Amino acid sequence: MFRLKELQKKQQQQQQQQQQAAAPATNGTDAVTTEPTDVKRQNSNDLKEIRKQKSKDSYFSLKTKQSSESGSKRANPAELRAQKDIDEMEVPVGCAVSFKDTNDILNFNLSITPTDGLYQSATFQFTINIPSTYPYDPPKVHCDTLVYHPNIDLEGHVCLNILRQDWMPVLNIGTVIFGLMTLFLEPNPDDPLNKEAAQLMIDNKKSFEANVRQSLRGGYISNRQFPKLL
Amino acid sequence: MKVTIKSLWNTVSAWHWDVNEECCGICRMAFDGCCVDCKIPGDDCPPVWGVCNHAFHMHCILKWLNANELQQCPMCRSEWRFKSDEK
Repeated sequence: MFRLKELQKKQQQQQQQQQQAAAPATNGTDAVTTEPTDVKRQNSNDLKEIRKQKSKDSYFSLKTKQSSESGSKRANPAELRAQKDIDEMEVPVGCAVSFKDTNDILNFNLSITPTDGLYQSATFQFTINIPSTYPYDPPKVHCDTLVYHPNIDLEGHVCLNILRQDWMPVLNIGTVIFGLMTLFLEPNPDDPLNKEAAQLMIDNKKSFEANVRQSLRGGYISNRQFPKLL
Repeated sequence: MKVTIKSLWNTVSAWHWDVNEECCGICRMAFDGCCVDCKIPGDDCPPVWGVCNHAFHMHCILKWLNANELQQCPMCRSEWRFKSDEK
């Protein structure tokens, strides 16, 4: 719309200029002295208007850009909060977050490579889903890498207190990632999902550690083969 | 006495909630703004305090307390009771 108006104005100006060019020849000297000032005034007015329109234009274009970035529908509270979490997040060393779809902030992947402990240097993949009720409900975390771990079962369910009973809405995505990292640094046999591994960790820590190393090398434990991660 | 005020000045006023923290820990929106469900900051979306002195948007903490049997402060896990305004 704005461009159309500008075009129309330009055309008018051109017509006026043509008239001016024609005027002196027919109307004599009086017309020559008055008309240019009129045109000048009009030009400056046009300029002002164009500037106004431009500023309006850029204002609106910014608005539409912002809204198109967050998708066609209005951002829901969970998305708003997740965005803030991710903006302020400091990802611990060894962790990397990747988005499958950059428009979908509520679903992303996390890879954790512990820098210390039993699981050092192996990389584990997680899928994280932020529910629409976030932050009143915790993120849903699934471990995509088969792992021999007291707190992660063979289906990939993760047992971490802050993902369940101890979830608080003041916690954020960063604290969840931090919690998952801790799980690899210090497995907790008192709150197990893989009961076999937890029991062994309590009864015989040496053989538990041997099992972990064997699993990470791609070995069998209780007739189940683990992927080779080291 | 007749007082004439020349319109040389524009009156401007500002307000803010008297809260120590900048934003609500639940929604992470500023207290001087409003919670995610509200559109207009002000009396309709006030901050509230627990006896533990942690503040949240009234709407945010009520949503949390209604969704959970345990009435805990999301910040310190102590039992949540609203601080009466004796200020």
